[in-house]
Amino acid sequence: MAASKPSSYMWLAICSTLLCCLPFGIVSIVYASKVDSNWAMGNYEEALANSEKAKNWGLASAITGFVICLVFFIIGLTA
Amino acid sequence: MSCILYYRINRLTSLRRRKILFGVLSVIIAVAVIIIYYNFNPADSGWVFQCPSKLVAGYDCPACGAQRALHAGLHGDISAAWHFNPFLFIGLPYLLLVLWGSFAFLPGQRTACRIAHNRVLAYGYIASFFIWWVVRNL
Repeated sequence: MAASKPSSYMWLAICSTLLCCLPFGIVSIVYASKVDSNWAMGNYEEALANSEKAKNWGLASAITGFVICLVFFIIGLTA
Repeated sequence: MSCILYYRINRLTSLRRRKILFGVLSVIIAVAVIIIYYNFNPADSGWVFQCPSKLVAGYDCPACGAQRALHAGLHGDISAAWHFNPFLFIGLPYLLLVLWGSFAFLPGQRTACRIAHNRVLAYGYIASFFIWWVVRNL
């Protein structure tokens, strides 16, 4: 059992849906919303697993969004 | 034993440092965003940053218009902000609630965290995201 409740990375999920609107962010919200209830029910392993998934999907969304925006930003500057 | 203890303490402080860094960074980014969008009007100031989904697919994504809405909202024109992007009126309060629940030193943080992770609210947000995406492109 881990010492404290894992982060749900909900902020990352919400930011990525608000800023770049990728479906990855939605997946991240679904996993993030499970972390707290898992932890409250004593399913610590599951809470940790969902936290990891939320983090990975959120990061995937943020990085993809950032790269796409950067590419279009450069195209916009040169065009 | 002392090695493990040292590792634990080190880990704790690094975690705390990361949280403080996270807080400071989010405040800096928020202030920067407010200053930028207060001073630039994305509609007419030669601002080159346009949504890729609009450029490529020709469809509005759920956040399209958010820059113009932010500019209007910061100048107190709430109805214009609503006109540009009503989804922000759901998304921004939800983001604030999530951030409120993320910092242990804030009063009521536990309650905010519990509400922010409420399954119904999270799925409601997702549903409104997709409904708004479809509705605005009809």
